[in-house]
Amino acid sequence: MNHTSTLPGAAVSSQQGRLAVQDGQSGDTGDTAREACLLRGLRDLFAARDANDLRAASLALDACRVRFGCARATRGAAPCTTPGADTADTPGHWQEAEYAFNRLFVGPMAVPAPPYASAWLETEPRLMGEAAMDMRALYHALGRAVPGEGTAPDDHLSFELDAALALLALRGAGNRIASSSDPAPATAPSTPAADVEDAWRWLVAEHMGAWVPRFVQRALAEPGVPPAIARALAMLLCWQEDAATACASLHHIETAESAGGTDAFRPSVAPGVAPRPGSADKSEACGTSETIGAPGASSPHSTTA
Amino acid sequence: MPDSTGPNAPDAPNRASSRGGSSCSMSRRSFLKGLIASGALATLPCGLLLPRTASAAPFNKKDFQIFRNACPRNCYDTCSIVTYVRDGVVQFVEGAPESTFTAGGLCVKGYAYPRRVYSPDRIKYPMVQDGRGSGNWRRVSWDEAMQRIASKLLEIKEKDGNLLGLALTKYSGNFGITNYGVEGMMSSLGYTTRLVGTPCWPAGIDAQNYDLGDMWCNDPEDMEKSHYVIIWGANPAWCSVHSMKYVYAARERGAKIVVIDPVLTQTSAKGDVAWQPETGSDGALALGMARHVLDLGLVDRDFVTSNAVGFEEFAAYLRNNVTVEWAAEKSGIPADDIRRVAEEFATAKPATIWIGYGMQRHVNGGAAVRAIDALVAMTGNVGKVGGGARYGHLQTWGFNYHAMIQKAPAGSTGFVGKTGPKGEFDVTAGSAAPAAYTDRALNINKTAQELLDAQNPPVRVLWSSCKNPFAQDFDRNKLEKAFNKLEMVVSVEQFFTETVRHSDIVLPVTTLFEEWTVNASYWHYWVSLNEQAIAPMHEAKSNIEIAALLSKHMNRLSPGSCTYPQDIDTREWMEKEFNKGVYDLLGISHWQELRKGPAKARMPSSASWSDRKFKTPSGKYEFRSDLCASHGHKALPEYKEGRKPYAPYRLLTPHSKFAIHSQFANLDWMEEFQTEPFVYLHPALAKAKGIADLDTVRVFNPIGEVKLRAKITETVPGDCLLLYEAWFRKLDFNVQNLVDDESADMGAYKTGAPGVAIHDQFADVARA
Repeated sequence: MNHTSTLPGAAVSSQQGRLAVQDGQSGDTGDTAREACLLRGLRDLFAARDANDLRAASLALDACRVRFGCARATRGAAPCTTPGADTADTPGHWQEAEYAFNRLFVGPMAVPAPPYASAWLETEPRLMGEAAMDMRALYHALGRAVPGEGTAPDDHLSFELDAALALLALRGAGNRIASSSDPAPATAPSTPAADVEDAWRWLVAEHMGAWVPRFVQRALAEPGVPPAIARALAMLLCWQEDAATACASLHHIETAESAGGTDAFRPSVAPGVAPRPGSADKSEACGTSETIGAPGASSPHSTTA
Repeated sequence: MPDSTGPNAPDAPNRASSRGGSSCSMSRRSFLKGLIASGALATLPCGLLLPRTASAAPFNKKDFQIFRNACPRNCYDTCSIVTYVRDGVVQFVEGAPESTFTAGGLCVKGYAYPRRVYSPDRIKYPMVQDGRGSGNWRRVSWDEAMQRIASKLLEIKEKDGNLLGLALTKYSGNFGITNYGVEGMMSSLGYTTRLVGTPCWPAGIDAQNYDLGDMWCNDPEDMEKSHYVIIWGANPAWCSVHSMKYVYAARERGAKIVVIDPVLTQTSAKGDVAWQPETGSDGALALGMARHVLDLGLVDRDFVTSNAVGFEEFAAYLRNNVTVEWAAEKSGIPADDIRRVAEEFATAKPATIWIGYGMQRHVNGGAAVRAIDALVAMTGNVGKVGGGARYGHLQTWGFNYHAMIQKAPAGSTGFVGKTGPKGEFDVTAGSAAPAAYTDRALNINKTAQELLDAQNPPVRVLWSSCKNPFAQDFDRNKLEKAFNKLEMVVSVEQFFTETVRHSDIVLPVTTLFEEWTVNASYWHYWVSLNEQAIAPMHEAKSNIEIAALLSKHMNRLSPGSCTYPQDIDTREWMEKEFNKGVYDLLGISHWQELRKGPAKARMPSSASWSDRKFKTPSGKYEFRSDLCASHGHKALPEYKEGRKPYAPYRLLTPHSKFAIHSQFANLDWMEEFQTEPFVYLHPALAKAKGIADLDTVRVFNPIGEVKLRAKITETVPGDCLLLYEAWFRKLDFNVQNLVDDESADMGAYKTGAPGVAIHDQFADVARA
């Protein structure tokens, strides 16, 4: 990474230093790889056009589980089932899954769980609302855009997961930069690493936190959700909750430090975001019985196969 | 002005609460800049997001792009719209201030347009249903969808030796001129089967053609010059809100406003006199008024002798067959009231009658319109500014119909036999040289029966566009049987209607904001450009783009099997609809001038027939029409009996304020006002049936039933059940369960098929 020395991030703030430490405690590259595996699988699943796409994405999500073990975010609603148990290749299985997927998310009938942020965040549900413009601005900041901008709503779940994947990669790069650098003065200006963290926190905690839980629970409330889709929905919710919780506890440490205050319990979503109905009800879809370690700081052993 | 007025104005208070406050936005902006500056973006693992090209428009919150649009719905008002776009997204719409008719305001439905374009419910992709009605839908590419359709068409052409097994059902869902490219697509494939006619207004069209030689109304804007206005069977306070300002202006200048409707409508409430006659008695009422005018010697002698034929015969008919008392008995309107209004009407000059479409949806509707025309004519009000028998016009529809007029492939065979026009907008009717083969015409108002009966070949494939047959065609239960016979149903739609549910393939079609076209009105005289304001959402295509793509696949599978151009540009095709005649009429030299605002036709007078040169065979107003007689009707505008009741109560299914036919009712803003269907009935009827307000009831007759809640109101006559026409996205409700396909008396002459007696229906009601 030959640009390392030119980054203003060479002067890393104390908060960023703590981020590196915090991240190190939670498993570092193993966690990132697990999360990337998960995000890629979920992204592809919600972008599926047909049974083959659904099958491939479901098998990929299964593979994440095989590779990284049955951590909370890779497990979903049911207790750790044997990989492959709900991705069986029985005749018609994926065809039925495709029909159900379209009834839930695609159409042509009005769908119960439109996979677009605007449908949940606008005061009156619609597409191409402010949430879509927020996401467009984020993609533009990443030098990206949705294919056919202005035609495909920017806040489709699969695009948002793609952006999360991008930010995840940038976080990884930032952390490596941070850990190789000297501690910086606390008054350091905004840095790329700090911007990435802000963007990540906004996306996973504030933005997705405001709609993904409601989206997932609404979809899961439908009758006859095929197991592969139900599991993906639960994995999505668990990932979003864990990521948001990680942001919140990190933010809490920052806040407590700067205010000189003491530890206090923090809500599981980022400050400034009103808790949404559904997001508080995390046990239903995610399960708590086998939760390993503190929320947002999963123990290293949870990431080993 | 733009960014502070719209419903989605950037600083609307609701946004902060859904976002977590402004501090978050601040931090978001700073991290966005930082990400771009970091230079670490080249190696992102994105699988869907593409590298963004530098040409993308910069985000500028303050700026709107402003476009011209036109409401293409089947509505009197055909509003000229100004559309405000930011970030490639329609933010809000307004009425165009340049049109004195639209006058800067839209109706409650028009303001909801952004809710339609961006509805989460919109059909987004071409989809195939595995098993019609199964709900098992698969997403397919446009190419796959077209490949399937093209293969099927070639298969039935091979089997039958022609394409008469392919039928088109299309009507008024989108009146943008380029959408006649759907008919063009059919012609470009060969000779096909067409469901012809119109459910809406054909009896009145024929009646006016017999009397005057054309359907041609005064400019509605000159109604303000009327000294007496009778609104007969129309409810403009709901269905033509822009016309009401002229009605009010007339009243402010001293005119009396008389509203005739069996239901006490919002328009009745705003009139000076509200008559609630027996439904279907309009002809008797008009003839009774005519008899009184005759008795008082208030006939315009100059007009009836110089500009009309057959008046003396009509006068003799009135003297021998009509009395005011008879009209009072038929209509339920007291004889003295009839005499007073008739005299006032005959002495106030100019005086006008607005003939609504509701009053001609009867087995005697055409005859009734002829009687009203006669009343207006004998009082000398035809051809007068502020006068006229106002029904509609097609004066501003002289486009090229370039998209519509396509040639059949060489060697095509089709139907042999008698044909007529394919609807009131069929500009090709009578103009083409006689051909060896033609399309096969089926009556659109008997769609179910015609599809069941068609033979040699049967209808195998149905293409539905700009129409929702299950909501608009009659006898829903029979229609379901007819659909079961079809081998393939293709719907071109924006929402999941009951018709889409009964389809094999659905194709997503553009909204008015997503295509170029041009729109005219059948009521006022303004013509509006419709610009493409945004890219088509999702995978929607316009009707002509769909036709071009089908042509590509037809020709790939069987070269020469379709003449439709395969690469088209919707803007070019909009341009091709203009001609010198249209330019001269509008007083413009190029269509680009319409980007500054709609243009109004420059007519010699705001009055139709101002030169008294009628287009009838005699060149005069025909109180006696031999042409009408030769079509199996009476030569004179005589009274015709209504339909005999077959159930205890009259069933009326008029328009709601929150829908145009089946459109708009599914949008959330409309649902707030119209959450569910109700049957409206009079307190006396409710009491007799033991029905309380909001009870759930069954409304039933020999063809079907619906279950819904009742509302008790004195605005509905005591022998009547009223249900508004609509479809609800969340409810299985359809008024066509109760409406049969009985024909109106007229319509075949100018539209190819008689109208339908929508308001000559009967039913019973009981607590559910």
